[in-house]
Amino acid sequence: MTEALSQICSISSQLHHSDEIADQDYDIQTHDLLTQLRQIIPTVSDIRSDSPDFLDNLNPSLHSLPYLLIWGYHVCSIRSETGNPFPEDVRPGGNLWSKAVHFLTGFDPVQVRYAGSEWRELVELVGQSALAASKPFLAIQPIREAIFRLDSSCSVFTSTHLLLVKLCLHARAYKHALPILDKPICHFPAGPEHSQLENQQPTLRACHESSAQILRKSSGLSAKITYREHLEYFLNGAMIYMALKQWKKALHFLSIVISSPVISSVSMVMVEAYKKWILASLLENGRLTQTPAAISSHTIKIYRSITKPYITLAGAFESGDFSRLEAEVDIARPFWHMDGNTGLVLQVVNAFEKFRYHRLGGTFAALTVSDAMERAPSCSVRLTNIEQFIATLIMSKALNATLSHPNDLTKSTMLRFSSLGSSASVSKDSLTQSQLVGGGWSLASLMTHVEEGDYILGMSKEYIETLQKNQKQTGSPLKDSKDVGSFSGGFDIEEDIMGDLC
Amino acid sequence: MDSTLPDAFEASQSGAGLGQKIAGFDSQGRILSDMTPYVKVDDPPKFELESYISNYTGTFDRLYLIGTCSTHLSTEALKAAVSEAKSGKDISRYERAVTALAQAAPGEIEAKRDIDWVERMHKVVKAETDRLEHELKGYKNNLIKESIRMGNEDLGQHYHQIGDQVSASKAYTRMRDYCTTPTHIASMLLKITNVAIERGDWLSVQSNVQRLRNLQSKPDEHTKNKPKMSAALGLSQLHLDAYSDAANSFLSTESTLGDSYNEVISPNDVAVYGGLCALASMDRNELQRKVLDNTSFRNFLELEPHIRRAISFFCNSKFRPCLEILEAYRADYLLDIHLQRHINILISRIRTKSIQQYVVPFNRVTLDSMAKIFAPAAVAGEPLPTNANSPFVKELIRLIEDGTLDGRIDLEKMVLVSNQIDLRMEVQAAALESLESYTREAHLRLLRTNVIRAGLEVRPPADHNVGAGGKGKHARM
Repeated sequence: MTEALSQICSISSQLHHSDEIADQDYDIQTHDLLTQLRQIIPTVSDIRSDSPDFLDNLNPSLHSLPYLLIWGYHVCSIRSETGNPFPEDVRPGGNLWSKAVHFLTGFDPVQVRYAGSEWRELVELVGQSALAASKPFLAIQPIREAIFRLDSSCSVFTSTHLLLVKLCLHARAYKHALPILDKPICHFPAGPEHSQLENQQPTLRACHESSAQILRKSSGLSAKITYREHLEYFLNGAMIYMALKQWKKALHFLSIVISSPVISSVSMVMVEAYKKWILASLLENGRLTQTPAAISSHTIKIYRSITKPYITLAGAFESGDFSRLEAEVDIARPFWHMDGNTGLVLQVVNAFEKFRYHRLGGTFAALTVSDAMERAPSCSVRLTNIEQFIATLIMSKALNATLSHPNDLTKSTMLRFSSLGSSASVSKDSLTQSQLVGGGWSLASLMTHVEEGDYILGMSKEYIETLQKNQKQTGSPLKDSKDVGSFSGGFDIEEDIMGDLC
Repeated sequence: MDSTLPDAFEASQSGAGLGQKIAGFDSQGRILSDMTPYVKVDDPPKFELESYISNYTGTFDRLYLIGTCSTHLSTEALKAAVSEAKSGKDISRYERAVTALAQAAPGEIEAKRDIDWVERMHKVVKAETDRLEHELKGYKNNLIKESIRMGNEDLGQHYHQIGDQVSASKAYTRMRDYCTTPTHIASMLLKITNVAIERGDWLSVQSNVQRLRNLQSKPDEHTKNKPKMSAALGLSQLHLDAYSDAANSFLSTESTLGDSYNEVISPNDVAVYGGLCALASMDRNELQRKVLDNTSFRNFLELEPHIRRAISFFCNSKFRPCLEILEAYRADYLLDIHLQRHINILISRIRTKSIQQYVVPFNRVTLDSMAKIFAPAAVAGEPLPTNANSPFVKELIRLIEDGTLDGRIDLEKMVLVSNQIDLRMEVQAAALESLESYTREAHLRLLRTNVIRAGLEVRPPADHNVGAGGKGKHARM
């Protein structure tokens, strides 16, 4: 055992004094190491005979590759012995499971780039066996950490993202998905044929500046991705946000799904997303908002034809007629149930009341509760005690108002809405400031990705200027031939890219 | 305003327009709607029927309108309408007038249909039509342009007289090819315009006025036609609900109009229409500058001094007298052929503007003091003006809801509070909002580019069950 161990360690430890080694050499050495390991592992009797305890002797952060390969070898052998795709050892609590979790929390991100498919198998096995054992929660933490470890910017979509989000949904551990969901996805693993830089063949170790280059299709770090995976990821992400009542973010995710480019037909995932988008839009804004501009009219027509009940529901909501809303909700009950949206629809009904009182605050500065009820008649039996309901709204901060009981008990309670300007305060001011700064940061980080995209697509300032010139010559001037600003400041460039591709 | 059809206006059958009634066209291109007029004016008007009607030539439509709408003048007006119709050649007119009179005052002698006259007139009209058609054919054979033009003109005039407006306007239009001088063209266009006004085809009025304006005619002739053009354009804009444009057109009408356009509009009308449209669409500075200080329009305003008074009251922020004048004359305007459909909207707009102007200087204003000006007389049986359910408060609520009034009602203290806006907060909120929406949009676009670059567009399924399997429903909420 020690012999085998020292052999393996000696091979891989060469890499760890590698700070002085040039990227090119590191590349070659690692590839060599991999081939050697693949040859050695099945032959070393210690590993074979010994239980996975052998792995305890390896430090995953130093010897990531050997650890990964040996683990994979054990899983393979156990599988072939038992014939079970998720053998007992791999399930949560099993011996190999804990080894895998140990690995995921401590592996070296550079080394695993060279064994992408093995890494992915490990992650997937962890996730799936947790699912198979109905303990999805156990897999969430290690997988999330692994994602961050592999790509700290988290801007490239991989199949692991989808796996994690699904695990969170199954475990109902919505908040645990937020660290990943809050990082905006900007790239997708591109195939080699798309990269103009392919001929340069960047070394896997070197290209730190862009995670998109590590996570290409051939790396194996992500499974093959089709449109359905990325749509499902955003839809599931939106559902997590909705479960947490973060409607704004949910709307953004749903917008991504419904505005996804299509060639001719529309995916069912997109239709599902459109249904939820309508409901979330009502919940967040109290009305149906404009669909993203990128959606073609043809696609919108398809959506509308399939989602009739939702559109009539939105119409009833906007009309401000409570009985009509309730009737619509009742009539289409089977639809809501079939689509799994019953819960959302019920929330929409509640939100209706909220928005109506909100609107009342725009018209009145103060009025009696009975007047308020008259103006926002609520037919629902649940709300027999309107005063209590208003009190709930105020307490939940949905309504900026106060209730005051009169001295004379025969009179109705007075509902006084706070005046619009008075909410200004130092705390709110600083909150807004910090929000502005945060927004600026996220925009700036997005801009770097946009620039990256420009670079890869060859969208330089000169190119666009020539394009404009050519178009002018052919007699069809650009719709808005604004001055194309500098790279960092001007978003016009970005718009122009889109104009080209859409 | 719900004017559904561009030409939804027919003077003598005043049902068209308001209330989206189902209308059809009769053989003459008029718009038919149910014969009952939609307004009944019970208040006595301020004008004398005879002196009012003597302002116009071709009075039938006005008389008929007054006869069917006013309860006070109905018999008198309808009798005049019958005799007016009988002096002409339009049989359908006569029959309509007689039917209306028979309903209003069955006892009158004129309410009986004069069958002899009708039959005789049928023959006369037929003979005349045949004669004119025949003559025209003859002219055409001779190829003399001037004769053909005149033949068409006669025919058009004849059709106009017998009430066949479509044929009339066709005949006039046919003149175009045979007009040799700008004078001819101008007179043709004016005739078409008049027919179009009578038909209520306001788009055609506008296009013909435009043609007339672009015509290169002699300067003196141009100045002669100019006021007519402005007046006709104003009328069409009024009927197309473009009150601001209409006001400007009427205001630019020159006082040389005089009585020269009596078949369509009298100078008094210009004053009233122009004044009301201006009141409804202009702010106080504009009113002062464009209406009261307008020397040429002053000539018109002198004919209708109460309009002038109303405008100056409005300019001086004396809203109560201004609205009182308008209310007092509402009955008159409801009996006006062109204003009937619009007067209610115009007055309510003026009222809304007055309320808006009134609250401008106030931080908070009691509903009581507002009600004194805008709802002085509590109608019996209705709640007090300051009650939450009174029509006045409801009106205020409606104005606030549609964003016309920037304020909120305090029903405890019974005041209208103007909204205090913290500009700093507002700017910050706007900046944040635009930042967020920009980031979202940029992210959306970037993703879209990269999706396309990675070849992840939604493709039609290669096998059939792909689409069905694509449902991503994992958590039901």
